[in-house]
Amino acid sequence: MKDIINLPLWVKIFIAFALGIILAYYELSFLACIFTGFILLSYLLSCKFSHYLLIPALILLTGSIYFDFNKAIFPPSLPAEVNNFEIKGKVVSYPRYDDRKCSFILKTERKEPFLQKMQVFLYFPARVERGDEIFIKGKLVLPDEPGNPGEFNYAAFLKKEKICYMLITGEEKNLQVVKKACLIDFLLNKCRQKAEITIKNILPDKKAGILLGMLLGKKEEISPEDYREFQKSGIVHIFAVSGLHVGFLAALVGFILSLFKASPWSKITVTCAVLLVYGSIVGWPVSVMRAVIMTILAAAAFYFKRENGLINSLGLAGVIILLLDPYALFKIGFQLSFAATFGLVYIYPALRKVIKEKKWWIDLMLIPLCAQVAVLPFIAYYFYLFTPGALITNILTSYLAGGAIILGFLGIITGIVFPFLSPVFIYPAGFMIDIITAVVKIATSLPFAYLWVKKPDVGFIILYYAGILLVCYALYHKTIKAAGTGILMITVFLFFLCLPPSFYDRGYLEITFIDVGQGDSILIKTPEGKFILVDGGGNRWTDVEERKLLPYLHSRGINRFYMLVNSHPDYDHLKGLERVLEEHKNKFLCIPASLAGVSEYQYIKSAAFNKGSKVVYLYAGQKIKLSKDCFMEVLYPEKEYRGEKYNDNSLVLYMKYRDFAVLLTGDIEQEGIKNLLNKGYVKEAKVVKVPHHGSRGSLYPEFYDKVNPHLAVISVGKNNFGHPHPEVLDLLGAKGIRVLRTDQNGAITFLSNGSEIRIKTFKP
Amino acid sequence: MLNFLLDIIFPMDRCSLCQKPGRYSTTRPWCDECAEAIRSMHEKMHICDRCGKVIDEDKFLCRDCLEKEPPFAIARAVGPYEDSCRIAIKVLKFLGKKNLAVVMGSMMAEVVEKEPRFFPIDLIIPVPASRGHIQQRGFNQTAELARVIGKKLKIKMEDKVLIRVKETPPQRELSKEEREKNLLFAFKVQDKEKIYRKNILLVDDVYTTGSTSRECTRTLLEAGAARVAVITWATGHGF
Repeated sequence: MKDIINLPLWVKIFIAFALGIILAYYELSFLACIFTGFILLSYLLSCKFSHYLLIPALILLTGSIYFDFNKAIFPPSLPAEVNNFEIKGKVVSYPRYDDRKCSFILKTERKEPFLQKMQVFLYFPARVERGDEIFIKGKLVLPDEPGNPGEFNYAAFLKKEKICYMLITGEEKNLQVVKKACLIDFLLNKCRQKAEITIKNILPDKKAGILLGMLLGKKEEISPEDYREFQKSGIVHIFAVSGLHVGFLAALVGFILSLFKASPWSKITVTCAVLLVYGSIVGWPVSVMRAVIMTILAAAAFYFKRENGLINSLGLAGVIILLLDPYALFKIGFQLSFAATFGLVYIYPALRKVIKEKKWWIDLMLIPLCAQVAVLPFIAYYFYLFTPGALITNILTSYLAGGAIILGFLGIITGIVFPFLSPVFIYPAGFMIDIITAVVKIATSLPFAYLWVKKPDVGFIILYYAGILLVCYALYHKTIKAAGTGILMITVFLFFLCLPPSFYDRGYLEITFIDVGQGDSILIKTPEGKFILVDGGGNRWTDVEERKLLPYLHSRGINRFYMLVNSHPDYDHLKGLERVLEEHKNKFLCIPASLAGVSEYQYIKSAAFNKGSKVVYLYAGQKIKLSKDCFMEVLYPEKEYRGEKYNDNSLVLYMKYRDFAVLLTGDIEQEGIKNLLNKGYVKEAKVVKVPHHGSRGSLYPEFYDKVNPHLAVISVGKNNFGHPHPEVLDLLGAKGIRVLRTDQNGAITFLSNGSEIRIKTFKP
Repeated sequence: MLNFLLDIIFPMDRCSLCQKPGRYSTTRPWCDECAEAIRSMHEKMHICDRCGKVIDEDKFLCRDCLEKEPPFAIARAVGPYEDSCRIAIKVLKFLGKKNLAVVMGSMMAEVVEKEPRFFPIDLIIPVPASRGHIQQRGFNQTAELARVIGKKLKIKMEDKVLIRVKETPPQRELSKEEREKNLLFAFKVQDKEKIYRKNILLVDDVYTTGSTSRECTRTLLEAGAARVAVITWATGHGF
């Protein structure tokens, strides 16, 4: 208790203010009012405890009210699409260029809160810059809600930026620049472009992309595969332009100035000015804002001869950022940045109380360790990753990254004045990036370097941090008892975090139809916890496996599959499976025997060979025993290729666990169904996957008579084929079969212990 | 105003003297116990009537003043150079806690106000610090103290009139004889016009043997000052 009272002032203010914001975010502001009212009353009645709590309570209330005032309130029923919408506005973010599209945030002059800011996507190479005023015509679209647990919630993400709509246009004539950016914006843009050009001229694309990512936080030129590798090795923070960068930049500027024998005052002002310019060039992400505020505070403390408590200035930075953007508290960047800094300014000194030796290599290990320990729950919560290997990779790479950053800055600065000199700095930076990528490659291939983990509950995260605080308290005050409790709490968290997903719902067969848009992907968990994935979705236009499939599998904490099954080699069934095979360990890869030789399978077969999973060819009559009472039977097709279409050679699989059976039908069409029925292969099942996303060509009423299902699942997304066809829906309705659709219900899960069925849908 | 803002941004959560946790500010930099300790030290000390050094109860003047009359009219200090008073000056000087000067300066001003022999005062002048000291710590603590006293007494403060011309080793490392030799012609008055026929209050941090104060006073009187009185934060023991 005494320690809470003795916390630095701004930390206390930050905690109270943040609590108020959290209450308001979950629409519980009234609790803040009641609490403050209660404290005020007891203060007036002069109770003793209210003396301490009055000011915190008032700050808490201020936080709630402040958030409520700044809240983005969107009306509940907005049209999902508005065509030919015209609007004038100002580009307020640096446009981001992907291979096909350009995206930025537009601030408009409209009064309605849901039209004040919008995310714009242009499907042509546009020449827009930050600060430009533009006139644009296009389609207003509401962002998609996620369909699966674990999927990135883009709508919620945009809402935190106070954005409701996306504005999309594909025609160049729909965009007119009304007014160019003002001088300051123009200069900042020029700096940014100059930096890009300098680096891209010298380094090959891949390395230039990584270096630009590190210097400017531009992530679009790093390939998703590389990005994931960095994530797995736990050093992706080098791209989230962080305090590390600001610290290195400040140190660099300070060093250059001391070469010119500058006075302390001019050193401080110049460094602060450089940091402010740099912050504007990278567009003020939260981590940079935090680092710049803390650096300026440190400089001010030095100049005015005040004691600069790092924890105190972290709290002050937090309060300033929350005042500028109350939503920041709920953004990943804020949480990661503050957690990591908390690790450095609180956990590190605590450990230093015990480890007293002053050796450089101890710091080298302890500093990344403290940051990693502090962000661990957030990494697990947002990225479903537990990265013990990150400790080693960070020791090796964070200083290399620092070197590359300093050299990169020097290269850019000299590039502006003496262009011929910049290669001197940029080439070594490129070399350092080579080393970093090599370290990342090796680190991720080590056993236990990383582990996909189930998304932890918030309660467990709180438990973990309470444990950390207790351990730190114990280290500061040398009390064994608190340390023991703290370590126990941390261990409990880690234990539940690393618990394999097969541990949950034991004795239940689980079948989940994952929402992969237009396509199929079905995850099966046997009662004993083996994972089977039937098909993996795939879309030529959007990265559905990166956006939907892999995040879902990762959020379940699945690290190894027993079987990957492909029903037939169409793109919307095969593509995602290839990615899963690349990403995860897998024992068997199953493909239909009748299509074994087709060219579409070439890649996945070689990938299976390289990853050490065995290829199994499936044909009618095979029965795979998965565990006691649970087996999978192949009903169709036979060994030889028959019929014209791949679809009619789709695998038809029959999963059975005691009395519960599911029929998975792939994309089989009328011809195939007729074959299936003629041969008498069809068996009764409680749940059936409607063949071919509910197309009319797969409609065969006798099939449903024979199967006699209670539930039918249609795995479908936005498409131009008219799936699912109304006739199919009518027929299923007429037969009294309950229909669940992945486009409407999101991921659909069936859990059965062999007799009962439980159904869970992600969207109600 | 600036100090108030800085107190908010960089809150002081420990007593500047005894490190006791709590909420402190520029106007209250130390805890009540430390404040009480300083106050009682000030009240209890028996001093030489002329130079303000701590002497035995039964004496009126210290041996130095009896042997040779000091050039200044009077010298006084807030407390003896020990315990809390000693720590306060060290924290101000060596830890660079500049804002301590606010409270310390006003306490010195109170001492001046209570003693009629200090008056009249026309000008306040701090003992100049060596350039090395300023470069190292970024400020001159005696000037800070003098500024506060000036504000409190509403008298003009001039910290550029008396300057140091000779870089000398710190007085605290030397014996009494060496101190006097060390300081000989170390100071100079830059702008004689400003002090001509003026009554001057000289401000220093510590009065140990009085060598610094004597030398400064001598320099000022030679340059035309009418009369010099000395106020310091702490004073040493005399015989």
